Order: sequence, then C-alpha cells, then structure tokens
Amino acid sequence: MFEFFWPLMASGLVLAGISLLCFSRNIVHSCFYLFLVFIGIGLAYLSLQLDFLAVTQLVVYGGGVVMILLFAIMLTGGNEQTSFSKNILNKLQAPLMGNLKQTALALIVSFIFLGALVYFLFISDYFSMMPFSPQTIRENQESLTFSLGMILGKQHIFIFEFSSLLLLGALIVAAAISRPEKEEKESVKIQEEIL
Amino acid sequence: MMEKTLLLYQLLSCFLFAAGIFLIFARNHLIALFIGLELLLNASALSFATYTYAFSLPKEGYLFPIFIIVIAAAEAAVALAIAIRFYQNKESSHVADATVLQG
Repeated sequence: MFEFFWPLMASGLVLAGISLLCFSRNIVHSCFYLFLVFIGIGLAYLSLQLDFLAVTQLVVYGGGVVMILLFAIMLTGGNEQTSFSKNILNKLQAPLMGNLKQTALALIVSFIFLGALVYFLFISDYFSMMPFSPQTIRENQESLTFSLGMILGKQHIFIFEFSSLLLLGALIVAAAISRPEKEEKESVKIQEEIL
Repeated sequence: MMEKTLLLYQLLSCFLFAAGIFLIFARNHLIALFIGLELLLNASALSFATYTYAFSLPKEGYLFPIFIIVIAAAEAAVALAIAIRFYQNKESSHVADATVLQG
C-alpha cells in the first residue's frame, strides 16, 4: 500500500496543477500552478528511482523556468492586463486569458487529443510487452547519475557539447533581443532640460 | 504493482499533453501560450522516461528527457526575451497584435 503513496501523490499534484492551470484566469497564479505541476513530475521521476532526472526537473524547471516566467510577467505589465473582478461574468471576460468560444474550441480539441492518446495507449497492448518483474529492475539498477555521466562523457560527447553550444547561443540571442533600444532623442531632450 | 504505476504515469502524460493543447488553444496571452508549450514538453519527457523504465531499455533512453529539458531551458530564454521585446514595441501581450510579419 505504501508503495503506491508516492506515485499517487505525484499524480494528484500534477492533476491538481493542470486543472487549476486550465481554470485559472490570472497569469501570475498560472505560474504558481505550473510550479505545482513541475514538483509533481519531479516526484514521479523520484518514485521511479530516476534521481538525476528528478533533480534536473526541480532545478531547471522549478527553479529556473518558473522564475524566468515570473520576471517576464513582471516586465510585461504583470497583472494589469489579466486582472479580473469577483463578478463571474467579468471573470469570464478577461480578454487575454481567452473567451468562452475559444475555451469551448480548446476543450473539444484537447478531448480529441486525450481520447486518441488513451486509445492508442490501450490498443498498443502495453502490459504484455513488459519483459520484467519489478524486483529484477531494482536489483540491476545502478546509480542513474553515474551511468548517464558515463554515457554522456564517452559515447555521446558530441551531442553533449552541442547542447552546451545551443544554450550559449540561446543566452546570447536572448540578451540581444531583449536589449533596450537606445533612446537618443530622449537623452538629448533630458540634456537640453538640464542645460 | 509496478505495471499499475507505469500505466498511471502514461495516463498522466496523456493528461498533461491534453492540458497543454487546451492552454495553447484557449489563451491569448503570449506567456500563457508558453506555459502550454512547457506542459507539452514535460508530457513527452515523462513518457520517454516511463517507457525506458518499463521496457528496461538502454540507459540512453533517459538522455531524451534531459535534452528535452535543455531545449526547454533554451526556448524559455529566447521566447521570453521575444515576449519582453514585443511588449516594449506594442505595449501589449495579446497574440493577435503580433501582425508585423503578416502578408
């Protein structure tokens, strides 16, 4: 019974997070619900004994991406554009968070996707192809961090270096894109005022 | 026991994917769309890790979630820089205002 505790807790966190995300009309609250989802997925990795993936998920997503999202929201007007009153009708009309027509369309499309995914999961005869008993995999499993380090350092060194180049490129491009424009006219005006 | 856990995680990744699609279709805010994209990437990463664990495939299978996380981090930096730049130019975060490249 206790073995089911962590998987159920992870699934509960993720399901609560995504349902809150889908019904939230406030972009800042959405960010915090996204954090809940990331913690849930990290717990899911942890319950499969994938320690390195769990830590990466929590550090990169929970610590990095959510923080960048919050900064981006604060720098782009924050809550002003998505603010809503307690009146339900106004709540439904927060323009940036979608209207009823869009929500209905999105519900239909996402249910089609969900149905297709679950259908293919069950017709793929998933269980009969599983080649192991759970005990054998636990005995055979060495530390994931060690084995991933060996794989990345020996066999897949090129893609590892390439991903570091990709990150560097993304960082430079992001800095170049979001650099503020030189507002020369304004600075001239300020100088004239000072003089 | 383990089979049930893995089926639970597969269903969870299906729900995550559907929620990401819902957010992309339902929202008009640039950053809300980005949140939907993150959910899609997370769903695929969880599915990769679960399948690799379930079929005791080679450990290379766990590289896919790691590279998905790397690409998501790079994408986050660039996408949010674009969102900030867009707001500086247009004073708006509505996707319908992004019409400069429209023919």
